[in-house]
Amino acid sequence: MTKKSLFIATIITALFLIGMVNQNKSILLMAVPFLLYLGVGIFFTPEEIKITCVREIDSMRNAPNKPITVKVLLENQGETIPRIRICEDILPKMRVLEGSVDYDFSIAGKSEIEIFYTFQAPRGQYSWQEMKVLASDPFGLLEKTIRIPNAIKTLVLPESGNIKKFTLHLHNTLHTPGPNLSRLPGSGVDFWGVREYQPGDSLRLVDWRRTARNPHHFYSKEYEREEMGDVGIILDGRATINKIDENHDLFEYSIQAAATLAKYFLSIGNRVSLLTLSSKLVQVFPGYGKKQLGRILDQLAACKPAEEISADILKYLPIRLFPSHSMIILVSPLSPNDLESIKRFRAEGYQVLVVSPDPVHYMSKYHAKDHATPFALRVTRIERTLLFRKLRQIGAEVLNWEVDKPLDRKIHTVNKQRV
Amino acid sequence: MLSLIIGFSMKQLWWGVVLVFLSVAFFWIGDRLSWQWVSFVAFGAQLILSVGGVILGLSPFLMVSGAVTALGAWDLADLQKNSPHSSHYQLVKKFQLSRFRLLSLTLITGLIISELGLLVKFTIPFVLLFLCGFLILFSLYGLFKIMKN
Repeated sequence: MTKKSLFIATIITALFLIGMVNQNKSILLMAVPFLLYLGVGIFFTPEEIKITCVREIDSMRNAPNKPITVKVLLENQGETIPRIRICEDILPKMRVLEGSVDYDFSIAGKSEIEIFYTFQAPRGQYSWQEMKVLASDPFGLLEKTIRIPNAIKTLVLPESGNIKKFTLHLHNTLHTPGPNLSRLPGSGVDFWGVREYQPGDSLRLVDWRRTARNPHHFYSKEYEREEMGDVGIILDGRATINKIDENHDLFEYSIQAAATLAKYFLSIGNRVSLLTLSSKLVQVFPGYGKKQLGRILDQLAACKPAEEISADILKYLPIRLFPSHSMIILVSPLSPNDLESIKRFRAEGYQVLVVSPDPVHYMSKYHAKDHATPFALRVTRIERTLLFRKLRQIGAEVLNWEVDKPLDRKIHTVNKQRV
Repeated sequence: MLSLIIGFSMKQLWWGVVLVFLSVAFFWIGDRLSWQWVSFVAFGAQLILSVGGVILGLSPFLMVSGAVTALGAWDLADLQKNSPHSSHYQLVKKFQLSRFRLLSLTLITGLIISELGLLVKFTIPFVLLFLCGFLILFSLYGLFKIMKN
């Protein structure tokens, strides 16, 4: 029953009542076209609706702002449906580029129709649970709503930039070949030292100069062994520190940094894990390679800032997620309270690198300004510098990232800071 | 609408003509601004004018055709909301054409029956008329109850 049919029924009733009260044949006859209109609607209303509707998306994982095509396949196994409408739920942030499904059409019995539409969306998870189809008579008087279960989702992955190779000395490495210098002799390219020749050493390793200087003795060169490292990324998604105002927040930049770093460390052959302090506490256990990158990007795609979450969670890090003495990269705009958590990481032997999207710089660019703003910014900047100093004192490395500059350029300054 | 304007003009009821024009303008503005409720209000207003015209003694032929035209315009406004998009243009166009044909057929048939009824002189006792009305209204009530369930 729709608004239309109720309206027509009210008109018919009103015309009958007015006609009878006035004993006026003309008013009673005026109701005839309306009765006929309603009658035709009832006559053409499909009795039994046998339809299947499937929504298909061309790819499960999509690059940001890449057009995504959705195909809706509607199959009618029953009689002709004079008017049908697919009510597609256009989710917030989705921008339809081409086509639409939200209009009326008719479908003949035992036939099928394919409809396409293309949309563009920023990072996120877009999912649907069912399809809503409205079927009715041609005038839309008597409508039937059919809900067809059709669970489907697609991910728009976060932007992950490329980083040129830089050296980050990991204190602890796994005994598996990898990209990090392990401070142990073995196979590698960096010269480590010279020792007396031992049976089994390759002739390529013999130090011929020293051997020439010391007759009857052979010496072998040793190189620094290169091993795989464990890198754990913690993404701080607390809304309280990421949100600048209603329209601006740093969360997207944090996600971008986490994705870029995960991609870099996996591409050079490290083992990477992820923990996100977001609306859902997400853990991706350590792993290698492209599959692991896929897992991490999937989780980052679905991440949303957390309104109510405490940084106390960081006090008890699961050892399976962050193996002892591994490297922890904390991506966070930082608040003074985080100092305690980072101290704890250091006390437990973790090596810590803090990548901090700079809220002060961001605020100075995008936030509304008044006469007090420069002073407030200055005070906040001083507070932040002091916090960084304290972090460096406890042995953490800090990278202050002004988000309008590429992370690639900034990350190379980590080593310079150490020097 | 034209029949309503002619009907009111014939009796020199200019306020009626103005009201018809206003309802048409209201209908047009609602259509431009995509306000769905406006078409309901304009349709209701035109219907009230038709019924009022009959009570005031204007030509019932013109008033009935005015009501039928109002119904047609109201339904076409709903049909027009469906803007076809690029590749699916043919699909929507086909539906619009078939609905337009069915609507025209229904309204013309309804109009002919009503006008013939006005031409033919017959007397129906009030009790019979009351029973007929009651039966139709009861059928409508029953129908909606079935639909709701």
